[in-house]
Amino acid sequence: MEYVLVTQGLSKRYKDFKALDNLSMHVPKGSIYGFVGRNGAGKTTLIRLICGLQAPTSGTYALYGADSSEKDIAKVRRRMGAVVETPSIYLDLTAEDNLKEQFRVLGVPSDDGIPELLKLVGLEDTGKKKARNFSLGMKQRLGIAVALAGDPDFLVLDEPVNGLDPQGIIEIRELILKLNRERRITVLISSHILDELSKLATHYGFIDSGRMVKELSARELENACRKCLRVEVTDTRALARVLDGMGVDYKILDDGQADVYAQVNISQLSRALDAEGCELLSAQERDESLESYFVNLVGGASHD
Amino acid sequence: MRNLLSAGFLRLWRSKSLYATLAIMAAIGALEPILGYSAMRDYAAAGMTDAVVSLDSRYFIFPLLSGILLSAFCALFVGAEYSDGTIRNKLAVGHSRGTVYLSNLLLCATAGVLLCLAYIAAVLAVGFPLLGAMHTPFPTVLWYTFCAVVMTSALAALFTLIAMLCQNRAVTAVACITLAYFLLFLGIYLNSRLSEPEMYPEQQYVQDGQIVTEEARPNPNHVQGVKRTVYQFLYDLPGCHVVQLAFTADTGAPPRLPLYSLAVIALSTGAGTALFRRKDLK
Amino acid sequence: MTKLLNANFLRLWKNKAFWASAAVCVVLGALAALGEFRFQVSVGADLSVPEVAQYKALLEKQFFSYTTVTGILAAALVSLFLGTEYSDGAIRNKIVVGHSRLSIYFANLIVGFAASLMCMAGYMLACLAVGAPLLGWFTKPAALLLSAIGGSVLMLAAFCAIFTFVTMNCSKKSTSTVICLLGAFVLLFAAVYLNGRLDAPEFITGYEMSVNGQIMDSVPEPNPDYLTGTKREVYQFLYDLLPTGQSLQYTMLNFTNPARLMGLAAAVCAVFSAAGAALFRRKDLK
Repeated sequence: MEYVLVTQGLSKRYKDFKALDNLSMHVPKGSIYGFVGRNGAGKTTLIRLICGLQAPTSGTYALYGADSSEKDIAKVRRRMGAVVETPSIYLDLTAEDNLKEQFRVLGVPSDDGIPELLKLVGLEDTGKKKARNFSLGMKQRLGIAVALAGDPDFLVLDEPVNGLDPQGIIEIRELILKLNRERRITVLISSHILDELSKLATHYGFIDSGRMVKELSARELENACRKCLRVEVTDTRALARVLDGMGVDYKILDDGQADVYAQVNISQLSRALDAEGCELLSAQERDESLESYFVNLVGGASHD
Repeated sequence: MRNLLSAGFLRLWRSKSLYATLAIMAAIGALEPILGYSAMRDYAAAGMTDAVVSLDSRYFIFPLLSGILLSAFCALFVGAEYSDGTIRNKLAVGHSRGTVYLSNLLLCATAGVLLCLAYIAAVLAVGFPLLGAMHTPFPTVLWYTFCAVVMTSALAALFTLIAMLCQNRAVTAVACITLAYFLLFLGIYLNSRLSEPEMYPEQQYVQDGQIVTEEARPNPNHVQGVKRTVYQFLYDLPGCHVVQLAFTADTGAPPRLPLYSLAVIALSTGAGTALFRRKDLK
Repeated sequence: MTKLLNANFLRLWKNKAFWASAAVCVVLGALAALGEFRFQVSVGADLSVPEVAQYKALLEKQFFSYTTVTGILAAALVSLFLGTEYSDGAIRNKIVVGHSRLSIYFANLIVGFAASLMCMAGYMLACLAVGAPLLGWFTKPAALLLSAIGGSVLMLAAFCAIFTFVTMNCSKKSTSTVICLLGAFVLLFAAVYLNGRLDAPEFITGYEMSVNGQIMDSVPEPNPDYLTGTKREVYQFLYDLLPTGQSLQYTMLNFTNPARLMGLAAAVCAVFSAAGAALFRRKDLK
C-alpha cells in the first residue's frame, strides 16, 4: 500500500512531559484517517510535528516518501494543507482577503480561484465582514478554505467539528467526503467525537498517552466490533438449547433477553424456538459501538 | 466585590508581569545608590572631598519609574481578562460591571503601591549603608512618598480605563506605555516653559576689559495669560506633576497635587465605569 | 521568499496599525516644523532675513528629529504587525505549506523595516513640505545632510532587527509589544544619559571678582564629571553603538565619523538578525 504519511518511533518531550512516545503511524493514500484519542493524548502534538511547527525529540516521519530529516520535506509540504487547533486566520481581514493572503504565500498567480473556494466552504456571502465577527463555524470553515488554498493532496484537520452545531457538523462532513471522493484528497482528522468519525473514516489510529494503541481499517474495525442480535423471548433456556444446536455464540442477559453474536436467519430461529415451545417476541440488530471498542482499547492500555 | 477581589489577588500573586516589574523596580532601587557611591568615590579621587551624593536624590526618583512600569503591568494584567476571555466568567455569574471595573482598578492601584515599595525598600537597604541617612526631614519625605503613591494610583486609574475599554491587549499595551511616557515628557516640557523668567535680569560682562551692563528686558519665551493658566493646570495633573514633585521634594509639594490626583481617579473611574457598562463584550 | 514578501505587503496595505503610524508620522513632522516657526515668530526672529535663517539652521533642527521618533514608532509597529502572525496563528499557514523558517523570518524583517521606512519618509516629507516655505531651505553642507539621512536608514534597520528579534521569538503579541516599547524607551534614556556624561566639559571655568573690583575668568579647574581613559572610550562606543545613541547624534547633526556609525548599525542589524533567525529556527510553535 502507498502511504502519504509514515511515522517511525516519533517522540516529543516538553521538559518532563512525554507528549508523544515512540509513535508509529501509517496514513494510506486516498484514505480518510481518523485519529482517535482522549484530550491530551498527543493528537495535536503529532499534527504540530508533521506540519513542521515543532521538531521531534527523536524518531522520524516521512511525507510522500520524503523523510523529515531531508531538505526535500519543505517542497513536499507544498502538497499539504492543515488546520491546527484553532483556525489560522487573520481576524482583521475579510474571508476573501485571508485567501488572497494565503494565495500570495503559496505564490498562486491569480486570485480567480477564490470565489470557488469560498463557495466550497459556504462563505461566499460574507462580503466585507471581518473574520473577527464570524461565528465559530464560519471561522472553522474559513480555516479549512485557507488550508485548501494550495490545492493540497493531503489535508490535516485537527478537531474540525469542535464546537460546531449539528448543521455545521454535517456540512463539514459532507465537505470532507466531497474532497476525498472528488478531488482524491487524503485526509487526516483528529477527533474525540467517535460517532462523527465513524461516518467518515476509512482507517483508524487509536492513540493514548502519546502511544499508538491500534491502527486498523474501517473494515477491520467493523469485524472487531462484533455485530449482535438482541432477542427477546419467553424462555431463555429454550433459546440456549436452540442456539447451542445452531452452534453460535450468545450471551443470556436476563430471563427474557439474550445477545446473539452471529447473523442468524430469523425465520429459522423463530421456527426452531416454536418447536421448543418458546416465542420470539422481538429481535434488534445492535453494534458494539466504536465508543465501547475505544474504551476497551485504551482502558486496557492505560493499565499496563 | 469581595469575591472578585480575592480572586483577583490570587491572580495578582501569580502574575509574572507583577514580579518582573517589581524586580526591575528593586534592581534600579539597588543600583541607584551604588552608582551614587561610585560617583562620590570619583569625586574624592579628584580631590573634591566635600562633594556628597545624598541618599535623598536617589530616593526621590521612584515615581518617575513606577508610572512607566505600571503602564506595562496594567495593560498586561487587565488585558489578559479580555485576551483569555475570563472577564465573561465574572459577568456570567452575575457580578456587576461596576464591581468588575472597580476590582481591577484596586488591583492595579495595589500593584502601583507595591512597585513604589519595591523601589523604596531596595534604595533604603542598599543606600543607607553606602550613602548614610537622608537629610530631608522625615515628615517631608513621608509627604513626598504619599503624594507619589497617590499619583501612581491616579495613573493606575488611567491605565485601567484604557485597558477596560480596549479589547485588544497589545493595543492596550501600546496606548498605556505611550501615555505614561507622553505625560512624563509633557511634564518636562511644561516645566521648562513655565520656569522661563518674566524678565531677563540686568547683566554685567567684560568686553575688551570694560564692564558692560545690559539692562533688564522682558523674556519673549515667558508664558503668560490664559496660556499660562492652561499650562499650569496641565502641569498639575498626575503624570506631568511627577516633575513638580521632584523639584519640590525637599521643601514639600503643594497639597493641590494629591488633590488633583484624587480628582483624576474619581473622574476617570466614573467615566470608565459608565462606558464599560455600555460596552459590548465578546 | 518573494511569495512571502508579496503576502506580507498585501497585508501591510490593509493594516490599521501601519496607516495609523504613518499618519502619526506625517502629523508629527508637520507639527515639528510648524512649532518651530511659531516659536521663532513669538520670540521675534525675522526669518525673512536670509542670514538669520542661515545662522539658525532651523529646517535642519526640526527635520532630523525624525530619527528619535521613528525608533519608538518602529517598536510599536513591528511588534503589532508581526505579533499578529502569532496571535492569529497565521504563521502556521506559512510553515505548513513548506516555507523555510529562515525565509519567513527575513520576509518579516524586511516588511517591518519597509513599513518603518515609509513612516520615516512620511515624517521627513511632511516636515519638508511645511518647513521649507516657513523656515527656509537647508543651510548645512549637503554631504553632512546626506550622510545623516543614509546613516539614519541603517539606524532604523538596526532598530527593526532588534524588534523583529523580540517579536519573532516571543509567541505572545502583547508581551513582545511591551518589551519592544519599554526597551525602545530604555535605550533612549540610556542614550540621553551617555550623551550627558560625554558632554561634560573637561574644565570648569567660573568668574572671580578680583580685589580691585574687576571681573576675571577664574583658573579653569578640572571637572570630576569629565570622562577620561577607557571609561570614556566605552561610553563613546556604547553611544555610537546604540541605535538610540545614533538617533541623538543624527538629530543634533553632531557626529564626526558617519562611516563608524553606519558600520556599527549594520553590525547590530546583522548580529540581531542572525541570532533571531537561529533562535526562531529552533522554536517550538503551536
